[in-house]
Amino acid sequence: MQKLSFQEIILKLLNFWSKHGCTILQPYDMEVGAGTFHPATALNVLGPNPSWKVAYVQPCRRPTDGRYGENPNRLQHYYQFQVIIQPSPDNIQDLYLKSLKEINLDHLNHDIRFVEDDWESPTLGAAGLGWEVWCDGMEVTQFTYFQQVGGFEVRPVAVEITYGLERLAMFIQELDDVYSIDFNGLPKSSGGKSYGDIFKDAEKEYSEYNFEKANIDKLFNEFDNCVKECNDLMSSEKPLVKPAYDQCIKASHIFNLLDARGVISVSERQAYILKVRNMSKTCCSEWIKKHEN
Amino acid sequence: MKIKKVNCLIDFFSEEIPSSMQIFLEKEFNLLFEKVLNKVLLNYEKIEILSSPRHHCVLIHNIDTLQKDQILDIKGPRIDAPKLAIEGFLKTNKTTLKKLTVNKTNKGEFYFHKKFIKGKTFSQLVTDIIQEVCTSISWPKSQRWGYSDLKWGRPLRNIMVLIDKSCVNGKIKINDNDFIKFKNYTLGHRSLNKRVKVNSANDFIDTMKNSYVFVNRLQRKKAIELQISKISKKLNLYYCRDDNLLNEVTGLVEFPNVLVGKIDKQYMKLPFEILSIVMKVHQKYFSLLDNSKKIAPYFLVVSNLKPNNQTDKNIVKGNERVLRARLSDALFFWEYDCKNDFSYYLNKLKTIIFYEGLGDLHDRSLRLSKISENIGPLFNINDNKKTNKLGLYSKLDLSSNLVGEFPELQGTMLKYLAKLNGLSKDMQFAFEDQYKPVGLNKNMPRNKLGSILSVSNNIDTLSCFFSIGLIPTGSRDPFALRRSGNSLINILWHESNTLNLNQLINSLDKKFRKDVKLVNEIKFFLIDRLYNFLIEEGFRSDKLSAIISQDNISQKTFLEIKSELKELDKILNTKSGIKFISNFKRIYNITKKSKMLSKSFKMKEELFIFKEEIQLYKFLNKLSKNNKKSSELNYNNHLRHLNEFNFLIENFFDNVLVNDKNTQIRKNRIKLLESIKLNFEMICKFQLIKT
Repeated sequence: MQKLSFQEIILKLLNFWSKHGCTILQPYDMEVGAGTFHPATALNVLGPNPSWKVAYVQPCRRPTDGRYGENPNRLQHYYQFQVIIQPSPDNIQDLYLKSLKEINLDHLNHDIRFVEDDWESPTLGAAGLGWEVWCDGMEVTQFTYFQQVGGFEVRPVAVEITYGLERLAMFIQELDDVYSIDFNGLPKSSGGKSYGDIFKDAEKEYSEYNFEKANIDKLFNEFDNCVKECNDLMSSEKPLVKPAYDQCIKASHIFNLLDARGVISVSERQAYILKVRNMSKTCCSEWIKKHEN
Repeated sequence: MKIKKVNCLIDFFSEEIPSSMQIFLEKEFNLLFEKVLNKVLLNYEKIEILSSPRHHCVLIHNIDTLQKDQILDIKGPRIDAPKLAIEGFLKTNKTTLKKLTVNKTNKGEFYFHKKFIKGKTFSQLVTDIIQEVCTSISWPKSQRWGYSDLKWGRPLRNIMVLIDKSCVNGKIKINDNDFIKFKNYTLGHRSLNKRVKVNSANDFIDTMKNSYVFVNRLQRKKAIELQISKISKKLNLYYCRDDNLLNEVTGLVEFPNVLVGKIDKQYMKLPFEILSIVMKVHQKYFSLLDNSKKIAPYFLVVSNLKPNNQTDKNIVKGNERVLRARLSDALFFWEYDCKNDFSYYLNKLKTIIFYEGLGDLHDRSLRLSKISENIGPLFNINDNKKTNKLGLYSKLDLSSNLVGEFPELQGTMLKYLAKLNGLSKDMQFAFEDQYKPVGLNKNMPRNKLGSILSVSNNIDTLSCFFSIGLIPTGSRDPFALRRSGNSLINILWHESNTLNLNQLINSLDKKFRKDVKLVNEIKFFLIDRLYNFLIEEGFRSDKLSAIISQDNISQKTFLEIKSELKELDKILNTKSGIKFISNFKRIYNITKKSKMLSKSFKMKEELFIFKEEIQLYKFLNKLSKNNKKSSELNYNNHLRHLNEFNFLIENFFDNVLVNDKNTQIRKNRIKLLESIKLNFEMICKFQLIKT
């Protein structure tokens, strides 16, 4: 049997969750550290619609995880497949296992394990209980029942399923190196591309940028601007929640870049996280107010 | 209806509950079911708890089918109460005056109504029992799911209740509108993916086993151990029992199937601590040892699927790949780190901030070298050069890549770097042990150098954070300074005889030790920790407050505190000791009450009249002389005289009236008592001891 390519895995998952009633969204057009930041997750689980089912692929950036393209398991840019369903259905674990079967990971043939891993995002003020899902020892998914976002209770509870697409592909294609993932399933001679063909060079450049070149003064300025703009937008008579939330996303990424540049001390770290958390809290609270009626 | 005995099985089926929480739930179920069953007056033989990741079950053996009928005596109004009150009582109890009985109590004669309560059947009660238990669990961590208000470790999906052979119909509330209805089936192993009907409560364990779920934790654990030992025998290797890992893994599987995988040779040159962290902590694998007690190039993974050649092979292959990826990361860092020497690391420490306002890790290393040098002699280590180096190098590995990747290897990595750089064995051990003891844990450094480093670390941490005002308040202790304090007290108590707090503080840099406010804050904090530590060790708090105070703590060594506590216990174990304490308290109370005494008042021997007070006065002189003779205050000087004191003071109280009409005489007597009180109080605040 031909092993599934990276894009086939995505297509199959999209197809599966679409069939199970999910609205298929596109990635959010900003730099985020995780699919959770997408407003379709972070804001929407706080209402107004108690029935909210979406799935989307989200490119993620984690500047500190860059390894100049030299580590076979670490990337500063990678893809998550995100499913969010509210309220969490009774058969969600079964649905998830079915989705794995779609990409040739049958739980009858593989040791699938739900291992305790409670999740928390300090910048989003979000927390939930759940597991990391192991497939023959490899962590392939984060599975979380959201209890809180922006410091507010999530009611009804939403479930978030985050597949690590590269991990899944490495597992399915039985590889030790992320860059050798078959991306499009074609032979080399007819335009076949590996993950490395597409991203390795970018990993090198971005690692250099993240760790060495990003302009620190500019970033500090930008961070302050984001905080200010968010506050301005939220304190006006007619608060604009989503644009303000964008500023919060932006600030969070800038903070991650500054962290990669190694210019944030332990104590400052806490202070920056708190600033972003306050932004997201105000946005969430305003979002709830706006949709209460 | 006659009361019969039945067995009852209650099965809670949920999504995977974390290993440690399963153990919690077992204990909680045991406690709560016992409590509720006793409340409803049902007798039973025993409660058996079964648990696996998805099943938590209660098996109640030989429980009564029926509650006993009860007759309650309900107390009504007094017989001479107003008519209205009596009529009201009759109405609420639906009875007539004739049927009431009259009983005498110590408050008069009252009407009583004998209420007959017919016993309910167990099957009528079981639903309420379950509901009560479910809502009374005090989870350490729990969650809601869907629309539920009920909280559980992970979502609760199914409940089945069997009384002998029949399923109970019932439901428990999860919010104002929704319920979980009891079903006549449960679910087997995930791979079976089908409903399982159970014939009777007695068959439950076997039926589940046939559905690939070992619901009995102990059985599951034994099965894992048996398979491990079979494999190790086959490979001619040894299994070194690891209870923590075994318990955790037992909580991760319902149908254990131990598989063996190989580790590539190239990774076997990694130190065993690295191998073991990756294998045990990250991947939950067991390892085996060879004849020379080295880790063998195999790992054991406990899979949760029934054995099958093809799938087993796949599972092993997958796990080998994951382990390879993790070990190749580790090996890369290890080889890179081994190439660098001490001066490289020492320099690199300058780029890592310890904390804003507290300099970098290089600054910290310099401080530690000074402190280690200073306290060395107090641990009988007088080689200054050695203790200086000890402190200076103690943080080197924090700038290595490996510790960056595996923070839990701090200290251990340094041990290896020290070995590579030719440092002595005792230094290597000290580096590795410097983070012990963790809080109140009893695991101590192996040698004195390790103890010195541990003490240096903690006192430096405390003085640094306190100096910039970051003192723990209430529940806020973000830098775990209380744990630092606990470690410090813990190690001093167990490992040092001659150190006191003053010496500890004098080992610090001048800018800290000359700062009176800072020093007081640290002392105050450490006294609190010491107090807390000794309570944990089982000492009574009244004894501690009697012996330890802010005025005396700084000079007392831990050895002295220890022996004083022992002496105090000796006193409390004798009759004369108990008598002494009550006599002392009597003196204490008299002198406390009399406010008229001015400090300038001098005792005059000629003002004593009775022989009993003169004798007491002489006794006081003897005590004071003793104090002057010996440079240190101690129990022995005083406590030799307990019997004499008891005799004299009792004679005094029997024959002498303190409150004499003559003010001078009165003052003189009070002064005498106060002087005696002060003399004893110097060694212990006996008034605080509860007898």
